[in-house]
Amino acid sequence: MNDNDDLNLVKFLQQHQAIAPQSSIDLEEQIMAEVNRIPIQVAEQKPRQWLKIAGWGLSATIATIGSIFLYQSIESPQMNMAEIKQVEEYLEAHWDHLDPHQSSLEQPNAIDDLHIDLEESI
Amino acid sequence: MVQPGIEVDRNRSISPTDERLVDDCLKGDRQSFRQLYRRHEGKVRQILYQLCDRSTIDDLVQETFLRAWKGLPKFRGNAKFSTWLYRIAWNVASDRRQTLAKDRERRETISAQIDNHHDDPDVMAIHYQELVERGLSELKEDHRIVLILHDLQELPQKEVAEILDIPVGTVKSRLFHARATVRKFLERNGLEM
Repeated sequence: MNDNDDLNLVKFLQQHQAIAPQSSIDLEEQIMAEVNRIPIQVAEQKPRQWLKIAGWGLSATIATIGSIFLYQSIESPQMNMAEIKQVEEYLEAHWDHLDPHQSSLEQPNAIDDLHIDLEESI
Repeated sequence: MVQPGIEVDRNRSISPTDERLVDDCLKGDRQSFRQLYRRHEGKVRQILYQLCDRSTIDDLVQETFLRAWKGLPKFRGNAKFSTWLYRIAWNVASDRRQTLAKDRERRETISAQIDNHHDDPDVMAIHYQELVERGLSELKEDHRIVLILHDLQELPQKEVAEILDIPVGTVKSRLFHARATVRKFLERNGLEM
């Protein structure tokens, strides 16, 4: 059995297949009468699509926010109240020596001091 | 330049695409549905005619188009409109599955009457037609629809797969078995393919 056999078979089937008779004259009008009777539910389509998209958007947003909080809770070191208090005290004590217009790179000593003091206080 | 939603057909006349007509239907334009009906009725009719009890062919065509009208808001446009419509026709035919057996009996009776008059050329043509019908009715339903859509309606395998919601590989396999069964049937009845 090869492609030619298939071709011959298909040709034979096409040539001798039964052909459907013409539809009755009023079939089209019967169908259109039914179509006129049945309202198409256009309003359903687009709001449903928008609702679906909004649903996906909301789910994605919730998932993202949730992930961020989860990540922060796992990765970020949590300072307890005592540590926060120490940092506040340090900032109050050294506030006047820090120049806000100077970048941290230009204040190497200040940063080093901060680092050392924090380490000592902890 | 042709505008979107418009196509130029074989006779160089300009007509809206199926997609444009579907959009217009969804806006409530029923005359667009009439155009879709006129465009696709012939092929839908022929598919149903090969699959179902012929005495109810008009009812089946009507049911197919009414289901299409009701289902238009759910038509997503992922497939071609014709693909979607043929799938509805297949569903309508499947719902009438029980009538197939009765139809087969009727064909066998007619065929037995024709078998005695092989000499007349017209009778031979009818005889071949009956053989093809009987050959098709030998097939399992899911094989028959593949052969009808691919070999008789000349739809590409990919579209047949979409209509029936099966992989292309399954289409190929069913087509192979369907052809083999029909070929054997024809050979048993004295025809070499």
